[in-house]
Amino acid sequence: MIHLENVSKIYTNGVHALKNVNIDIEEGEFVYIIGPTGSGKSTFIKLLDGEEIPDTGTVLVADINVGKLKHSKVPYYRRNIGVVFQDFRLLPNLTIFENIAFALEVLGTDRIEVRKRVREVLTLVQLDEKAKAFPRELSGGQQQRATIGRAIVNKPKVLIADEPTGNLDPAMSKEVIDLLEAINKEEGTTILMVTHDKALVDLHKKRTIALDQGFVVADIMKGGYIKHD
Amino acid sequence: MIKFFKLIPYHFNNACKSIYRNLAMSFSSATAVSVTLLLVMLFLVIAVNLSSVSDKIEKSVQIFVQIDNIVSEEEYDAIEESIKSIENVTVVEYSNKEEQFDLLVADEQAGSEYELLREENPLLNAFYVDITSGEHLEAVNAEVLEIEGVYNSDYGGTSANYLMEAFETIRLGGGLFVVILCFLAIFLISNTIKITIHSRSDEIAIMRHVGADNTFIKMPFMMEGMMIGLIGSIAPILILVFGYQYLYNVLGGNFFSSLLEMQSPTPFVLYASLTLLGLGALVGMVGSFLSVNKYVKWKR
Repeated sequence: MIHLENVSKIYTNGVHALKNVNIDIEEGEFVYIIGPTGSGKSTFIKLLDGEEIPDTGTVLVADINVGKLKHSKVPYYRRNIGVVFQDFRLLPNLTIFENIAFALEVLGTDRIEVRKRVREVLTLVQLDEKAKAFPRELSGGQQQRATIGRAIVNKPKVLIADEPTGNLDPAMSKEVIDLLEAINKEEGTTILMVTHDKALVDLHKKRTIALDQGFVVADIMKGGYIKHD
Repeated sequence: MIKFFKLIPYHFNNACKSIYRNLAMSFSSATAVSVTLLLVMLFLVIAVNLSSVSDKIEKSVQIFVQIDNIVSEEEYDAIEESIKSIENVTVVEYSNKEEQFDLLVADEQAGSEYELLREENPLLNAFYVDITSGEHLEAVNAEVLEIEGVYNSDYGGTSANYLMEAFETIRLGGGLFVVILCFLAIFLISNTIKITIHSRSDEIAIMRHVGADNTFIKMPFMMEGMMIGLIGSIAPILILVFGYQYLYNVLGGNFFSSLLEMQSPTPFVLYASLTLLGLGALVGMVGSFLSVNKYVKWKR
């Protein structure tokens, strides 16, 4: 599903963000990406969602060579992947229902179809009662669930979650991780979760890839937070 | 393409919502349009009325051709034919010297005093020559003077020319002014919409992230601009409809003198209103297109 081969990225300011990275992730996997600040996690995500182009190497997502995409094709590519951000990024002037529906309307989906699917997703993320609320009226955990709802509403092949629990307390974090697990199981979506949260990674053990200073320093199937010097 | 049309109601809906939810900003944009269109409207009224006045004057400009006394009656037809054959001449009308004398007596303030001279009438037989437009006065006049038997030919000389030139300048200048005003309106709207967009650049970034293409991002903004333009044109149109009718009635259809006859309100107000409405929509759309375009330049 995701295939990185000899990928390197150097920013114009000289920061060497990724160095010769090779990663393979299969369809339906749930993978944590961990590492300290500046380890290249954000760059890794930016490469996957088409925001940045690798300097060398190839990035393949669902058989699409992301680095070679034309600028104008990037929006269409992004419809294959859902992204969840730490800071939620919901449209403040739209209700939760409209926010989730938005990702479908972009595709020109039929209105009846949109309504049906959004209802489904609202049930999945347990926000049925908040459909008409605006983002500011929701708690952090609820907003993050809404963001996840928006990310999965068009049934993407890959869901990338960038520190989805970064702004949440442990109870809310558990809500979010449970939801992601449910999506991984029920919809078969490949999930990549970037996180700092040691407790979470230790509790919900999954394949864990550790990055440090642009290198992949560990890739263990059994999971658990890796300590290294 | 089908998708594009299918999405129009959706975008329309969104534009309405956005206008409502950004009410203050929408109001300020619409006001900018209103003020500009008000100026355009005022100038439109002035330009159209001036243009009709100058048309009227141009049409009434005549060349006055006097015929030499020694020319025999039979030769008049020949002279009339030669005048008619000159380019841009429309009507040639004969007026004998008795008629000329009657006109003199009737016209001059002390005309009756001339009555004593009727027997020895010193005036000449004459032709009135109408031409297609004022700009040909000088050329036609020169050609008339060439014709044998013509004693003198006159058209009010340079003063008539100056008048024509002045009207032409006002018309051209007016048109230019209106065009400049339109650009000003576009600039004003694109600036206000730029602020709207800037305050919503986060939204655009999110739209991009969920896979919205540029057309999809631009459409609601352009519709919004168009609607703001339409809303902005309401006030100037109302002022035009009622104000012009009122002015027309109060002034009795003439502007200070009977020379400056006003355009009748019935078709003029309708056309001008439609012009303002169209201009508002166009200016709003172009304005928002320009500013939104800057924001959605392709980048990753």
